[in-house]
Amino acid sequence: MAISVKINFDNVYDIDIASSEMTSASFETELSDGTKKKLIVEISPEAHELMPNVYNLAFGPPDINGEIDDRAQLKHKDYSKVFSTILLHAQAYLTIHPDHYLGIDGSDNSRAFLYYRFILNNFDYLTSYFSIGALKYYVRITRFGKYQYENPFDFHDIMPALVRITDSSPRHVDFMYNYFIFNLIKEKN
Amino acid sequence: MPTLSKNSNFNIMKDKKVEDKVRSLIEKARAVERPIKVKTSARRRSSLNKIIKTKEQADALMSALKAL
Repeated sequence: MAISVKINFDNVYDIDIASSEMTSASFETELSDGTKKKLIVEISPEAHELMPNVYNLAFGPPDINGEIDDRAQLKHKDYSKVFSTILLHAQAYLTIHPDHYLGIDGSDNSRAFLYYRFILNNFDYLTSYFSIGALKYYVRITRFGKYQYENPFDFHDIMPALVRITDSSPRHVDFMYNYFIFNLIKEKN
Repeated sequence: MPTLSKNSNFNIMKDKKVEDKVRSLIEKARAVERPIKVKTSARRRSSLNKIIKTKEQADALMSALKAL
């Protein structure tokens, strides 16, 4: 099913902020069957250990233990409103933490491509608030194995490659990215 | 307690209604008194955390991020 999302910060659910640093929040989404479901937005309270300004953002419904289930498959009544709410929260978080970067993982390939398509389809709107980068991970090939079953990839030697997403970025599924990072656009002097 | 830096980012928001919504969220955050109780670690789940493990990788990525 193709999901069309139009990001609009005027079309958002009420957000319940659960931490003074805005690292934890929740809101109720309406599902296609008319029921309500709580969604949690969590920004990691600690940065990446080697990148002190990079924080991960995750979202999803709570599982039976109260932890975010970022693989849950929900049918939202209004996907635009759900993603607009999450990104408005991110905007507010970055407003009080202007030197931070937020990163979003797709929990699987289809979600990663979905997020990429959301970004491209809302490019003008999103880039009026955020700078957005997309990340791929490249693995070194050590050698071609003598036998087919030998693994030539050195997964201890991985290089990240970051690209700036533009309105002319390719839309094909082959251009899959692993991770999306964004921060506030800086005011130009 | 959330505070805004001197070079407040509100002045780059073009939409007054969005600015008001962001201000309202920040006010809500200021009013939160109960302690944070995080039940899951988004950081632990991050692919970035699993992949970027050396200073060289991190420096290369940070350099690219700053150039965005």
